[in-house]
Amino acid sequence: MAELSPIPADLAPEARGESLVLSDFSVVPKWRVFSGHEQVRPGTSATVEDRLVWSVSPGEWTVVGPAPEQDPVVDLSHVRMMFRLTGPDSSGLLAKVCALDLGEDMFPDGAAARTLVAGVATELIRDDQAGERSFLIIPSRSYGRYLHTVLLDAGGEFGLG
Amino acid sequence: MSRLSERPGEVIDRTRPMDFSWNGKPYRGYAGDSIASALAASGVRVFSRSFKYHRPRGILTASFHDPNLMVQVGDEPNVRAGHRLVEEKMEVSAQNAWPSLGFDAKGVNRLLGRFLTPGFYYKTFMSPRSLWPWYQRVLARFAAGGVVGVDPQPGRYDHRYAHPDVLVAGGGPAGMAAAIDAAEAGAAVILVEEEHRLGGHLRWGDSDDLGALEELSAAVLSHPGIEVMVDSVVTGRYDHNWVAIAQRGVEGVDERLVKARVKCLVVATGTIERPYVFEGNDLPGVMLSTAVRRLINLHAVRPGERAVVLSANGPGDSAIADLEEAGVEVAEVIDARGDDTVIKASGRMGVQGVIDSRGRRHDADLLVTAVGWTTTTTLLNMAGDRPMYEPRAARYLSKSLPYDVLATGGIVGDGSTDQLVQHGTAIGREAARRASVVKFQWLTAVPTGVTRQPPDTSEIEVPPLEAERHPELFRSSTHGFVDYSEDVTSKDLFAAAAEGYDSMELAKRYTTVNMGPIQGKLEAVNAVAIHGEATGSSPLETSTTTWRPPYAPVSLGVLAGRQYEPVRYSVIQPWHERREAKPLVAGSWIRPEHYGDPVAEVTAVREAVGIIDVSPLGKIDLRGRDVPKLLEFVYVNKWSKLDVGKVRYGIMCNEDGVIFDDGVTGRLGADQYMMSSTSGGAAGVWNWLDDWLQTGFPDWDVKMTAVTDGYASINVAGPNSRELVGRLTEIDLRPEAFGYMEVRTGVVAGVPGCFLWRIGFTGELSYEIHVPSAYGLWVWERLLEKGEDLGVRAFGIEAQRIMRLEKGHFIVGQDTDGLTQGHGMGVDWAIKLDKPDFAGKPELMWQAERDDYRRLAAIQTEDPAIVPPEASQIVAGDVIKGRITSSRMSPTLGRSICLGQVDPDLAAPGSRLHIRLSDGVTVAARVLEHHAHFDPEGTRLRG
Repeated sequence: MAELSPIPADLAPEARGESLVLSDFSVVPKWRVFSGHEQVRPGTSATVEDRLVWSVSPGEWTVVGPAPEQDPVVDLSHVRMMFRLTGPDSSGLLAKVCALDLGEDMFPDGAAARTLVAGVATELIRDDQAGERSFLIIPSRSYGRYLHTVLLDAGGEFGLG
Repeated sequence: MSRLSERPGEVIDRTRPMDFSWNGKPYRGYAGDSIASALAASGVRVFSRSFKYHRPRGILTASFHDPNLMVQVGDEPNVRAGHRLVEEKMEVSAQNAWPSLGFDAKGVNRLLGRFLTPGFYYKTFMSPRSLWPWYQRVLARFAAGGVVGVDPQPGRYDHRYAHPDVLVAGGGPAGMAAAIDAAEAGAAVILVEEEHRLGGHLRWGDSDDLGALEELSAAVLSHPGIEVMVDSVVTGRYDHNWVAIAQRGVEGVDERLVKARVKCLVVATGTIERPYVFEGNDLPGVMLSTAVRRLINLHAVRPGERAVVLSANGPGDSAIADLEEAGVEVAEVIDARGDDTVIKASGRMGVQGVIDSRGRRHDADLLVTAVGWTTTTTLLNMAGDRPMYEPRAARYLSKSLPYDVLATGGIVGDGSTDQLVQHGTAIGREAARRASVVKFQWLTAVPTGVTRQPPDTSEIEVPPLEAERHPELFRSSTHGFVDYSEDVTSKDLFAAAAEGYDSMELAKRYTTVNMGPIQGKLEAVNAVAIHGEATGSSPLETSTTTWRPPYAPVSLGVLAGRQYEPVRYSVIQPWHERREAKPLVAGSWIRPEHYGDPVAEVTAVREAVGIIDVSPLGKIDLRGRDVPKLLEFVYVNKWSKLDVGKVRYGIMCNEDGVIFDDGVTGRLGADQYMMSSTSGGAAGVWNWLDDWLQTGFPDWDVKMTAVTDGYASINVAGPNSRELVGRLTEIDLRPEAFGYMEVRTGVVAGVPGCFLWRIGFTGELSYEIHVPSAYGLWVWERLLEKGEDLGVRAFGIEAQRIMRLEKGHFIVGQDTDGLTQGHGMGVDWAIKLDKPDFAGKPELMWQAERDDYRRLAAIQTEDPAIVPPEASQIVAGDVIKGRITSSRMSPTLGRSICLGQVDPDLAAPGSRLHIRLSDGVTVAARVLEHHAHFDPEGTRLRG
């Protein structure tokens, strides 16, 4: 039997611009839980031990990392893709495809929202990396290919490709 | 006209010549020249022919809003030559002139001018009606405008969102000062300027003006808090300060629409100089004072040789000094602040003489007028302001503004540069303060909002900026052009008034004044004043003009932007593409319709085994102890006793009892259910469930998670399907271990976490395998590999549709419509009216008592070769008795097969029907006993 291939290899794993990196983190385990993170309020995210947790609606949390202990747990690993946009130009790119105000006041590090990116319902998390501005975009898997193409298209003016 | 030696404020770069063509002849300008200034510097005087009379026209305003400077550039029509910068190898030509600008054959209209009064076309070409198509063809040739290229333009247009604290529209002295001080106060500022450079009227001013310009623009451009957009225009202000900007000059983008949500809008759009109405006022060589000052000071162009100046204000007087400095002989200055004025300009292709109100004739090739200003209140009007006419200053002034809109600069009043800057500075600070108030309100509403001190609530004091006294000058004692774009004269307005059009709104539509591409910016005030003169009223004092977006014309490209239309793909899509599947657009999904031969695909499934990608099927993971209650409520059938390992088919109806979705739900564990819905109905089903849970049953313990994309779904169908699936899994597939309508979980092709259910849309023995989607393509390929000797073949939507029709399975939305209630579909067995309650029950109870609804029926045409097209009517004489909802040629049965909705009196098995085809022929058919044309007992799928 040939080797199990986890992801159809039709997306480039990483695209770089001058001040921007677009990477595909879809393979990381993602989970939906319904309790246990009440301290993470809707519209926010937090690192809880070795997991990133966020909420965009009451009573529901998305967890990225090792399988949580809560019951029930729904595996979202295959349901969602996860792109990361890192760099000073990341908000400039998103301003072309997302109507939300992603400025420092309205959407600081740790903010979480459910919104439209290029017409696709996604979750959007501000999750800075070592002090550098960074966003996670978490669309449903079937939109991934389209959304990846759009992000590259919109990123053209920032040298992304 | 000719080029002058270097001017202190010139914007041309003499080291960068630009060679371009005008009407096929070579011309040279400099970088920074507008098309018009480059041509004017080379002596061109006539730029266009007018819309109706084909009169020669020259420079009037030398700006974006010059009605006479519409030209064709390559494939692009209606380019504003007073604004568009000249480029190397640009091909520019005149519009609206044939055979040439110098000799325009259609100029014959001028001779007919006295017949071409308002309403001429309406009145003349009314009858006979039979000749209208011919009139239309001839008149179309007289239509103005350029030529649009046939080929798609390669341009790139896109959109962007912006969320500035303060947006300043207009980059003159007050606008720049407002931007600087708003940014100094900590606001994020966008400054938008229509022209290619900041500065407004300072650009063509004296050395003090140029000094102030340099200081202000340096401060603006170096401020990190200000984003400057030049060559860009605020096209509209909408509710809640939603402001649209058409931005040009972004690298790699022809034009960009910026959608800005602005916390405080500062309108600093200044004034536009107004033309004067008199005989010959449209001759080339009649220019506004701002036009000559632009030509001389920005582009170093001498606008004429011998000038007459009509001035009623200070800036007009400054034009005299500019003309003299440029070596233009000023033959006469007529001071319009007194009783003197201009009666007529005469000449053939341009001004040759000017006659003043004392009857004197002055030889001149240039007549400069400075008779007043129109405030550019467009954005204020859009913000709900109703500016009123102030006769003392002969212009409209703002009356009241909402909290989040402020105005500064010439739109407010007149003053020295210092006064304008002081006003702008105070307005900028006040704008930043108001923006902080708005922002504070917003921040308190978002969970991540940074908490900060409440903003300062004391308003900044703004120094007064008074509008200076100015004489009211609209029309001389003669008649001339009011609307240059539409060729409407003051005489036309008088004629309209005499015909009874005493309302300005009606007169506007009758004469088309204000309705050309300049949209009233130059002519609206004159038109209202002259209409008042003609009707003996004073409408200026009582009326206000409605200004609608866009402020200036925008391209269709910038409105469209990039085509970001979401599409969804299954993870198996790469395989479909390799096999050149014919794509089928199903909602946002792109699915394989077939792989070349849908009939062979059907045969493979009926005789061996086939696999189909049904990943778009809606899938909802349901957890919690109250899931059975939810199922009982949203489905019409019973769900309380569904054992673990079982699946059940269910139908959902809305409150009207109308079927809106169907699917199967399986019980995977004690508290875990998986609901499937139709592919197209997935989002609707989710909303339906969520809506009931949130509003109807908030206390129920049900946790829903949409997992459609979490599983690649593969239906394996056909007599060999058990053998094929068995080769990939350890799950016991024997009929006694895994029966029809059951579900199992397990490992398939090495992939854990799969679930399989035995159902059969095609009517064959079949297993629907749901694979964690990242492994979907892997399992798909293993099925094809392991089933080669079993005759496995991929099949698409078309083959599936044929087979389900053979089997008589209906499709919600295809065989039902928005009025089809449950009992009409032959599923009475599933509708349990004895349940305490479920969605749609009252309506279904009422339906069950009636017998007046259409039924779904399987229909067979008497001639087996005829396949009535879907939507063909079933008729009795001329009465419609139903329609065909699905039809195909069945490769299995070798005859046509149909489903249809039939009136109750014709729905009984054996009833004879008449089907009207699209060509009018009626064919006979009969109603069959079962919905299934094929294997009605279901022995195949239960095997």
